[in-house]
Amino acid sequence: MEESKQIEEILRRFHPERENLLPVLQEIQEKVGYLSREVMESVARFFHLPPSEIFSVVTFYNQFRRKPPGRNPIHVCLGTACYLLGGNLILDAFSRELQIKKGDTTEDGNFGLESTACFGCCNVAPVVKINSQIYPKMTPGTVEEVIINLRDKNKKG
Amino acid sequence: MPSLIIDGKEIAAEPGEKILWAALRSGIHIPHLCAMESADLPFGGCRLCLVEVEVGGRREMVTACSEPVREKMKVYAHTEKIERMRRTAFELIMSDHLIDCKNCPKRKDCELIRTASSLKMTLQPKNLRSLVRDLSIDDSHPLFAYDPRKCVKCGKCVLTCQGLGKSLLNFAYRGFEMVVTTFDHLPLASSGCESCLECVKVCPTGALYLKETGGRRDG
Ligand code: SF4
Ligand code: SF4
Ligand code: FES
Ligand code: FES
Repeated sequence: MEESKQIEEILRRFHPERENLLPVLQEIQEKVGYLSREVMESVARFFHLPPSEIFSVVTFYNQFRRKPPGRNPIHVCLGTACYLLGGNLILDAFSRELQIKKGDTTEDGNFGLESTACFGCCNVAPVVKINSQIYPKMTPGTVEEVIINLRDKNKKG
Repeated sequence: MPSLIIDGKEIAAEPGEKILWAALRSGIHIPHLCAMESADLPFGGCRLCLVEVEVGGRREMVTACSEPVREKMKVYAHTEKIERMRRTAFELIMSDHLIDCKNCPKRKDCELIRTASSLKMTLQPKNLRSLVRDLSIDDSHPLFAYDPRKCVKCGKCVLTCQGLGKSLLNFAYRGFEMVVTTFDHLPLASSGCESCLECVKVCPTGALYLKETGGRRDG
């Protein structure tokens, strides 16, 4: 309920003109965290555009996500230092292990995968941040370990 | 009526007509996969229809499906350079295509097979690694099915569905991940499709196909 109010409020401030589509989507995502099927449908109605076109736009840009971030959002740093030390390999490893792409969430809603810019702890690069905890000096090998530990924790907690 | 010269042969054209259609009507074959006469611009970009046109003494590369005819314009549709670019374009198209003609419902009426033979090429790319994506068939609809692994992203179905005021099919994602799909990947059967089957008719490949060819169509 809360959510649809927020969305209404955002829409109210815009004219339903095509050039406003991106700003509207960006603002909704910022407020609500992601663009669900229902949200994309309301946006389509508001702009008098076919829903498939909204979907086209939303999937075209990496910045948009269509699922909630997940209970354990994994932020892989791709800042310069981390990138140079293989940050993208860490991202790939998570992606493989969790069977999701960047910007996606696992079916069970347990993990989300995201890349970000520098966390400011380049001295222990490459770095991953999960639930505000920093995981230093990651390797593709430690990725599996991190996930297993988090899964265990979730089962217990 | 304007006329133009293609490969040295003078042909007639309708005012404002695109080079491609004028050529085809006069029996000059230019390969093409994504162009539709009813549309101003193609949705896809197969680039098979590349030709060279002479502008102020210089030759320029254009796509024949989007370039309007100008009076006395000189067009070169079969130069060595053009043929080379077409072959590359075709290899690119085929590099993520699931080539399975034996089991394909379109094997008797496939634009890719026709194009390959007009370019004197094989379906299988020779210079590119082929990478068929892990996508699954949507056979939720009673009358037709969609196999995205055979889609060449020509956009004809997208344009057609849009022309009918529905726009249920569209492009999604980009680059290598681009697909033609419904809103939020809804199964065709629940996408709002009213079974006009126009998309199936325009699809040049085995991507959109009738489930039953002949026989029980209402089953
Ligand atoms: S679409 Fe054409 S090339 Fe592709 S499998 Fe079917 S018949 Fe073969
Ligand atoms: S489904 Fe067929 S018509 Fe539609 S884009 Fe793919 S190849 Fe073209
Ligand atoms: S670049 Fe990753 S923490 Fe600075
Ligand atoms: S037919 Fe001209 S770009 Fe495809």
